[in-house]
Amino acid sequence: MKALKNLNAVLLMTQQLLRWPSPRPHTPRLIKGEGRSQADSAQNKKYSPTSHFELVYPSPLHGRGAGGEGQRPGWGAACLCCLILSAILISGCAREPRQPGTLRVVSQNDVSTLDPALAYDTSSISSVRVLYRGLVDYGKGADIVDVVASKHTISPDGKVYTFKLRPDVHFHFALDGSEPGRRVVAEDFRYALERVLDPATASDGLGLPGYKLIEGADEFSADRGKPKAQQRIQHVRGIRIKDEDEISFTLIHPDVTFINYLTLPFSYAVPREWIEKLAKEGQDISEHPNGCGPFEFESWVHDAHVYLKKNHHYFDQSLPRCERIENEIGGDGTLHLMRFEIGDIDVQSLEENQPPDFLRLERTARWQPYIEHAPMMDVRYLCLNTELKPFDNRLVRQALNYAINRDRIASFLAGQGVPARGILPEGMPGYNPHLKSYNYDPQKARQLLKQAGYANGFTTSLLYDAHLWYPKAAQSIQEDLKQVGITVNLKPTTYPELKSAAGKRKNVQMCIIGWIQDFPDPSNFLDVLLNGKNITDTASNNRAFYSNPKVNALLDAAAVEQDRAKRLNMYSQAEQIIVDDGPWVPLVHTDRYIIRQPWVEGYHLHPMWSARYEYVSVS
Amino acid sequence: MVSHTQSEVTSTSLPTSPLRLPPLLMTLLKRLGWGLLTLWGVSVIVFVLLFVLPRLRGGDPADAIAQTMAGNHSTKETIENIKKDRGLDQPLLVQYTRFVTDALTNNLKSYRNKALVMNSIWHRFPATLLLALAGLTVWLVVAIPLGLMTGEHAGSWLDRSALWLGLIAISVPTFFLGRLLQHFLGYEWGLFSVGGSAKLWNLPLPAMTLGLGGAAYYSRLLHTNLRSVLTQDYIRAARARGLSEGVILGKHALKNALIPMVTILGMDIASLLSGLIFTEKIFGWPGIGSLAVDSVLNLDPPMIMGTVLFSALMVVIMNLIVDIAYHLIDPRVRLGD
Repeated sequence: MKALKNLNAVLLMTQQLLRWPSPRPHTPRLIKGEGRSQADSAQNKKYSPTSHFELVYPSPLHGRGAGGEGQRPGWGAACLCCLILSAILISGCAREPRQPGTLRVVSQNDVSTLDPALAYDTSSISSVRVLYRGLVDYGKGADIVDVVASKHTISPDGKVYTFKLRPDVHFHFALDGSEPGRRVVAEDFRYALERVLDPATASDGLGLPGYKLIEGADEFSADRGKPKAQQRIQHVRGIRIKDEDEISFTLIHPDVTFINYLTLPFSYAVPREWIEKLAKEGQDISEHPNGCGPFEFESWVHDAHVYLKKNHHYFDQSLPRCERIENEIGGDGTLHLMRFEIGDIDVQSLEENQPPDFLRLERTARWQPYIEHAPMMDVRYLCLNTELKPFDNRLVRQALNYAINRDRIASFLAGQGVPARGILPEGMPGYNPHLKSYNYDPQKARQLLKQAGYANGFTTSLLYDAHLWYPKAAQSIQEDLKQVGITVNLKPTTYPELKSAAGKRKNVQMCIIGWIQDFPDPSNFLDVLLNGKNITDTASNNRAFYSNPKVNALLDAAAVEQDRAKRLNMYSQAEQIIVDDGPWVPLVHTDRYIIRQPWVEGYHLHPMWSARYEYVSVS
Repeated sequence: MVSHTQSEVTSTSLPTSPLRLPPLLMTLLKRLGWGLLTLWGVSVIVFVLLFVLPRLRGGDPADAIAQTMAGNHSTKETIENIKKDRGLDQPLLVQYTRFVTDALTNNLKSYRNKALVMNSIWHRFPATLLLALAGLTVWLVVAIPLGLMTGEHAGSWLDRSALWLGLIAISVPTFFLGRLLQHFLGYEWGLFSVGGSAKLWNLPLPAMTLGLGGAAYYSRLLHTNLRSVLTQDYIRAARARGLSEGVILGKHALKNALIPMVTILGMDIASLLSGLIFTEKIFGWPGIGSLAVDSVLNLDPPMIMGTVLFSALMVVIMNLIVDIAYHLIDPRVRLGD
């Protein structure tokens, strides 16, 4: 409709442009008006009241070349127009001045929740982890340090985790809204986890394997799934509270990764009475957060902003290092970068930008010292469905591994990533720099295909997310496979559809997909994505539907192994077998990039958290 | 001539049956009925696009939606629970009925953050309204004086340069014009804010982006209308009565030249109020347009349904308003016809 209208306008204008000759030389006095009949103009030749009238009051239609003559009734309106426009323009020149001590960040999408039981996406976690606190957290790297716990011990059999609590940690608000609130006690942590395990909360944490390791967690969840009258279990059996200061978790079997789950927001302390009071008023903690973190809640206007302010009663008096965090919501990468360069934003992630923008900044001397990067701790891979022909054949899968040029795919990332040789990214515990992998060798690929009985190749299809660099990667793969005789039909789609289709059994032959760590442990990649025991008919994370009994046994043994070196060695072995079997063609490991203003200090990229606001200072 | 007019008057003033509603009300009711039918049609189309078409392509929309909501570690049970909770496991007809009843009873909730769809739209409405008003101001404030001036001095340098500039302004797509203005006026020269939240100082560039094309369009429209109005006899008569040129243009010519613009303006206001996808996206303006885009990217069917229905509702309402306004401005236009 709009396009039609525009077309109409353009046609109209073109017509006008073509119809009118240049205004000079213009005829003075009596001029024949456009659209006027011949009879009229003949009339003009003799004296008549009309022609006289036209001489005295030149019709607007006779205005050729008359730009400088006659009255201009439009000028008054023009002045008014200028006035209003300049008012709008002047308002545009006003800009908020920068406040020292205030960290200004932006995000594209609204924060989805401020309830720690529900926070599982980057934008929510960044805020939730400074509003609330857990028993433990990561230190500078992947090491675990005590936070609300003053010390923690693990029983020799690796099944019981005991935490002693600090006496000086308080919630931000008391029930009446005064500050600070009451002391954080052991019960607050049990309550937090029981909320997560209650299906009614609909927490992502319920799906994580970690919390189900606690003795009685499954029974508790099943019980809470029943109608209220039939609920029999009061607490999770494996979570024991000795007194206000001590809480312990008993696991069904030892698992060294368990403590990583206690660093996630799902396990952060929440005050029961606060949540119950809000529920009575028809509200929830997502909109009225009350934790014990270094920042407390100021305001959240959906799709506009989230403001947090310093918690002056935080037990570690050296934190936080800035007074306020202003997180503005909306806009895209290009806008954010402009605003950053103008100085409207203090820290900006460079992941959402197009390669040219990224390269320009990276090559600008002014910004070079302020760009920081770290591995994303991810892997993006071409997933081959090992249950479907022809990828049920190991030789075919190996052939594909030889046929695809990963260096070219990595080059699409403009330096924000490296070609992947195996499953685990560099920096992940258990990463094996000596892993035997594949080189780009189309000749070898053709030979393997011949051995597998596909000397004339075959036709297959490739599903991928039509977003960022994925379409380029898909085309590159199509081209590479064409060289070895394999015809690939490209099937672009959206990420939700890709995830749903690829997780379904015997559904998708090939797809490009990725995985980002939940916590820095090889099990989070190898076990979740490639253990045959984790195959499900729908929503499978093992999207290659790969199951090698040898690998499964190694992974299961590694999960309960207490000796760290031995355990990591087992994962390395498993990774090597997987790479040899070739259920994946690992493509790239990407990097995270941020740029900060010179006045921002302490914003260091952390292997686990995308932002650690409490350490940031703004001068 | 006179007798003909008289007979027409008598025919319309004949006493009508007491049961018949006044024609204006009757027409409004009829239009309202058509409006509701339109809304229903829109809801069917959106539903088909979301839930039926992907099936024809072999996909499973319910599964994709449930998995998006369930997260990376979702178990099969979680996904089934979500499907059951949202009614995604029901037959299509039941699902559709549920959508419609939810929409009618204001129970339509976002799958993503469980916010009431109407609240989210309502929340964004002030920003959309502000941008729409600013854009409209630029249109009219630029278009009316420019149209008057170029209409009066047709063929002058002013007219020709306005014509050329207008041609460019209309032809340049919003996403290009917006980025240009943003880059030069905001980023390079630092005259305005490059964009951001719905605050006054972030308004000029989106308003200009929105306004320039519309202003050019309306000034040309007014120009053309004015030129035809100015040839009318009553203008000549006004001149004969010795009225000043300002009065003639401003009072007699302008009023008549504006009438045909009302319809187009009404439709354009409807599109302004239902949000502007490109302008809002470029400048990060939190209006209904960007809500609609985000809801598509997040695969949030209730929000998609809500935003599309809201746009359709705006068009229906504006149509009705235009009809009434037309009747008020020009009583010769009879709504009953």
